[in-house]
Amino acid sequence: MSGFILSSYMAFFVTLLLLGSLLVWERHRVKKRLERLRDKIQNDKAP
Amino acid sequence: MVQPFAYLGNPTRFMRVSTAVLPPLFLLALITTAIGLYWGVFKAPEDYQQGRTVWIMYIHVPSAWLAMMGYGVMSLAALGTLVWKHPLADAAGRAAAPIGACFTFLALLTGSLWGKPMWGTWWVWDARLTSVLVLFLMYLGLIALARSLPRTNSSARLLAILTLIGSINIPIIKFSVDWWNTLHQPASVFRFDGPTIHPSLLWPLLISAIGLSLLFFALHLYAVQTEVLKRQADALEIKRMREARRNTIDYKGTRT
Repeated sequence: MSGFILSSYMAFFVTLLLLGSLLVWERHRVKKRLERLRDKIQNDKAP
Repeated sequence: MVQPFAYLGNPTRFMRVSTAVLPPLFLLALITTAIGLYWGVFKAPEDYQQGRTVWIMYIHVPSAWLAMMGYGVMSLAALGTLVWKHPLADAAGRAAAPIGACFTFLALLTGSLWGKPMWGTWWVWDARLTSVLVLFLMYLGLIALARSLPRTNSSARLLAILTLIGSINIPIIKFSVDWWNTLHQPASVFRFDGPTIHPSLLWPLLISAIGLSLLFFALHLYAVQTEVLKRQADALEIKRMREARRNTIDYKGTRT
């Protein structure tokens, strides 16, 4: 019976951890894209 | 009531306010969830029939509530897109989908792990379990559609209409245990004649649910911020492409 409880709590924490990591990774990717675009715009303006 | 939403309609203002709110909200969510789970597992008595297996309730029930609340948030955002044309409504709807899908997955998984020792089976095709599975599939469909469509007004309207059509499933989930004969137990907390759970089990359950709801809102706010940044990147990309095209036309001398 304790195996079912342990599995439930492990699945709960692992899923939330994965969700959190996914959201942080997506933010990181978007910030990189923004930085790249700003650099390109800066380069385009350069003579 | 619409006033605060109108105030946060400006993306710069939204980013400033949400950045200030997020750290205390995350902290409060983690502390409240920890208190609720600690109380439920270490302080609350075991159930007289289920024994320690009742501990699964402290994560299963809030996950199931948040699965429905996630879709409720998406439906409100869909209304915001279609009726009020709020600039952040589409971002809020897109951001809520993966979080709602995760809590639906958790409700299904922990429910299955609770069902095996209590019912003797991992799964039955009864109305409650099936309607929650349909909710999970709807989440996956909407996530796939949102990821494949560009962030334009027409795709926002399409997503909003599909989300609102799917919201018919929420009352079906809630009342499935009353309308059909199900293996899943009927509602025991939100009832017209009051909860049927003993207060010693009910309080830790409610505190866990409040903590996880706060966690949901914190994760959602963070995801909406990311959606706003994506829109900023889209706008920059369009601006750069327009400038590049103008420069090309100028060089050829076809435009003054």
